[in-house]
Amino acid sequence: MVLQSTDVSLNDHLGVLLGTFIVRVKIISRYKGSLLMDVLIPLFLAAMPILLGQAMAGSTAAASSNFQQNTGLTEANYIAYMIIGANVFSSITTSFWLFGLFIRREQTLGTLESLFMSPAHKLSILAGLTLYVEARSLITFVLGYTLGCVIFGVNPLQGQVLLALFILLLGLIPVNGLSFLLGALVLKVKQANTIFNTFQWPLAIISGIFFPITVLPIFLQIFAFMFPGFYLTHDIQAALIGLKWFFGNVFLDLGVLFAFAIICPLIGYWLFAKTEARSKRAEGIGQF
Amino acid sequence: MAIITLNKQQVHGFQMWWNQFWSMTKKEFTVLTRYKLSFILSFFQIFFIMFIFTVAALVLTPPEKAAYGVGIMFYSFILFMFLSTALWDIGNSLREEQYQGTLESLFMTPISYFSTLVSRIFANLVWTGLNVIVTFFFMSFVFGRLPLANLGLGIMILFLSLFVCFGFSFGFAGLALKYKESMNTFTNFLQFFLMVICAMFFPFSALPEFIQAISRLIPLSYCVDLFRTVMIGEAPELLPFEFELAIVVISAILLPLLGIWYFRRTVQAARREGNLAEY
Repeated sequence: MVLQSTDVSLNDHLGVLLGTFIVRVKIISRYKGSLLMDVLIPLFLAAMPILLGQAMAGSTAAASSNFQQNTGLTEANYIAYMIIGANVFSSITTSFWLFGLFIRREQTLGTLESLFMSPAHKLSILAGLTLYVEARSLITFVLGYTLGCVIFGVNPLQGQVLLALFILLLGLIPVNGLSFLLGALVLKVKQANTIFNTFQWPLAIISGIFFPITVLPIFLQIFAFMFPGFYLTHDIQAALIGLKWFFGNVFLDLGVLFAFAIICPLIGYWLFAKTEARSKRAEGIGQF
Repeated sequence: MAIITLNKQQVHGFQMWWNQFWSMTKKEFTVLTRYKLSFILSFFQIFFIMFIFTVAALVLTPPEKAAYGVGIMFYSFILFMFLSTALWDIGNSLREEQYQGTLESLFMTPISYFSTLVSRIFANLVWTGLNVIVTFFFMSFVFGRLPLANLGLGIMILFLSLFVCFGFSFGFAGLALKYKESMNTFTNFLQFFLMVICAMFFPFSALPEFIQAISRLIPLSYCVDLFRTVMIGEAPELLPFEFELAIVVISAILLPLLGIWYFRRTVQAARREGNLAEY
């Protein structure tokens, strides 16, 4: 008897989702140092421009005044701005790599082909992975942001903390959806990690992690408007340090993130399915 | 079947050392150039990283100090790239030999440890050097002319600093053989730790006094300070020029020797215990 993914009940889909989530949690729990680095790396990244800028400006107050003058963000605390940016970037990176890394791992273990022969739907697998990355990002964001604020002497409890965490969870869904694209890239190009390592930085630039995109040329701003990571970063900064909401009010901003959360996984999945079908017709998907 | 026996001179002479080094370097170059896409993208990757951190620092910097700030960022980043290459590449390359099952047989041959370690990193150092040159032009194009006060002396200090990095690298190769997979997280941490403690992207004055005291205990701090201040044309921050130069020269001689001594000890211990090939 051959099972199709359409023969699988909702309970089975939930089983796949939960199974994928539990496997990932078990794997990461083996590497506690890796989790610690998730918390520390954003701090190191934010420390570089903050410390260099402060040394150049001569004092924290002078750096703050330069930041407000150069960016037009008169209401923003630049230290909190950059710490939030670095932490969101870390979550975006983990999310964006999610499905691609999963595919790559299964390929190298030799289990991808058999996994894709099973009736488990890829969207259920992605949902399990998304659940995992949401939990991981939530924990590392809270710890990373708090630690950064404590070290640089900023109050981490300013602004609307719960709203910011909600935005993080909502805003990572479209990024996770886009990770299907990375999955497709892994199937197509064997050096996908190089491509990703290179392009994560332009994505960081257009996400406005360390400076607002208004300091960038207009063509880069247009790319930023099409990338959900930009709205995610901006909205968390708005919730925590009082930047203006991008579309004027919180509901419109959340609405845009919600729309991305529906559209991105569908587009990502469609492209992945096309690449997968083409790969299956050609040399198969297990080659690496 | 003819058995060729090599005498001590043939095994340990300079010609043999050079042959070993060159053969292994050629092999590393062949592997590197297989991945053309990686080669091309690496240039863009470094530029993007430099771009984001430089702009981030510039939004906090007064315009009259912008060129100085870009110089600090760029010249520090050069050393960071070489350090990063040194910390990761030898250990990773040895781990790969372990996975492929060729490490044990490699170390059964009478090769020089020094040549086998340096050849693993040489190709990547040349690659990193090319990246630095291209990024220099990219950065000059985007942010204006970078300060270039004393190129000759700067290159000499960079060369000495590479030997300091080799010292770290050889020691880490030994640790990678001993602690295997757990070294990845530690190396990752150490890379970022050194980045902050050795003030790799900002002046030492930006660090609190107690961290500066730790910085002064690490030879790499003097490499960073001396290299970038010579290139920018400023006086070093930590010690007067002559003292810093002396520390860099002594470290460039001692650290690789220490590193290779530790690596040799680890390999011998692993051979005695029979776990050289375990991963």
